[in-house]
Amino acid sequence: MHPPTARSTAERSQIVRQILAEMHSGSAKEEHFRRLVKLYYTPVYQVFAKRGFPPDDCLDLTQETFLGIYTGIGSFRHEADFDTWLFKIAMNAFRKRLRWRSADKRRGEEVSIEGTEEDDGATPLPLTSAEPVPAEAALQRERSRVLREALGKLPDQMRKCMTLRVEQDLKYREIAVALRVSPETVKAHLFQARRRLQEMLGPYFRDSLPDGDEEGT
Amino acid sequence: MNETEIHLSVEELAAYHAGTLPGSEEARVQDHLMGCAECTRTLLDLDALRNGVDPADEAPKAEKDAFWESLRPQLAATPPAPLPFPTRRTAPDRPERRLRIFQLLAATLAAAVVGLALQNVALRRTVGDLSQPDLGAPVRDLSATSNREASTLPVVTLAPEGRFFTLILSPADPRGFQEYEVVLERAAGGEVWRGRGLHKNAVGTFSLTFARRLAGPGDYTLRLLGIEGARREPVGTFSFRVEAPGRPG
Repeated sequence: MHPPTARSTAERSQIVRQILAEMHSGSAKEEHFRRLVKLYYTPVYQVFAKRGFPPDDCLDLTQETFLGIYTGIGSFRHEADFDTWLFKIAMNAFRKRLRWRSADKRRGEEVSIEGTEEDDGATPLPLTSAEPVPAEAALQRERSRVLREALGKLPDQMRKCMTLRVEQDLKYREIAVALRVSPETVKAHLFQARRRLQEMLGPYFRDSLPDGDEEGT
Repeated sequence: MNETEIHLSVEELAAYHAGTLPGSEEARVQDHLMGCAECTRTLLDLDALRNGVDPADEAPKAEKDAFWESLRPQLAATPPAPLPFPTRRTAPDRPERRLRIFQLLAATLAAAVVGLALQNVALRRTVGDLSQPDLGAPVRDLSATSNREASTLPVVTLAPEGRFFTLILSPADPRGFQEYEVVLERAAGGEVWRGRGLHKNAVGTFSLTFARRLAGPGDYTLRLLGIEGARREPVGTFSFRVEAPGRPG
């Protein structure tokens, strides 16, 4: 999340309304759409970039999103929030790409059974697993269970902050967005949660608990 | 998150982000987010989109221009977008049109109600009049004649307030028929009334009562037809005159 920039949300919303009204008038539709593209190019691109797509894919997906907007703008109702509508189109493009990827992957797996020209059998099969050995795995499971139990004893909002921090590795500001509270509230909850968990679990878990100093706000 | 669990919709997340969900729904969404990294990611992306990009992260103008140049030819190939907000443009017209139709319907209905009410009043009055006895209603015997002179026509004289008169028809033809039909015509021409289902009475004559309203003053001819199956034969023709002195002022 970024703090509101030089162009506030309300200001941008006003610009969007103006652009849509001008597109509605029917004159220079393409030129007005260009303004919309310039306004939303970066945030749309970042939606895909943050999800780990390479730059070329991000450009493709951004293009697909704007084409979707251009063709569907007639069905857009002003009662809906334009950002949400645009975001939905972007998410549709994203999910479609995921489906293609998984379909490609399945096709690739089928081919690999037959072998490829590059596959000369030189690559040795891994002899050891990347998974933890059974004893370590059992210990990890036990630590997770104990930690979950301790988390369950925390007050609701404190537990939620800690869960998002531990299980989803979110930053203060991201937790604040997810829980619709201020980052300061998140900080305070996490500070209290750490103290309580340390009291409950002792020094054994001290290393496992996320440290608030590690993340930026 | 459980793989089989359904993700939250963009609309739900958008409403949650905007703080427009009711309390119970908000708690449900929040609980879901606790266990669903994918929906949390989507919510954060939406937040980033809504709150704008940090100026430091804004793409350079050249990159945006290049993107537009790559997009533009595809826009040309894309079917032109329909005019935005078609319902907004036409919406104001629709209620007005609907209103006009409703007004027209209401007016028609009101006129029909008033008309029916008036007709009802008139019918009640008529039924009331007809229910009263007609004292001194004339009865006239008619025998079948042909080419009778106007001066010798039998006359039915109605009382000033008289509403009915009765004719006794005595046909010369002795034949009997299944039933009889009567046709009342003005002497000058023009059928006034026609009725079927007439039968001879015990003394071999026919009696008919007419309303003044149907057969007012004037000269008339009454034709009697015998009906036997599909066969129809003239039995007699009766001419008469109806006279009515002026009603008292």
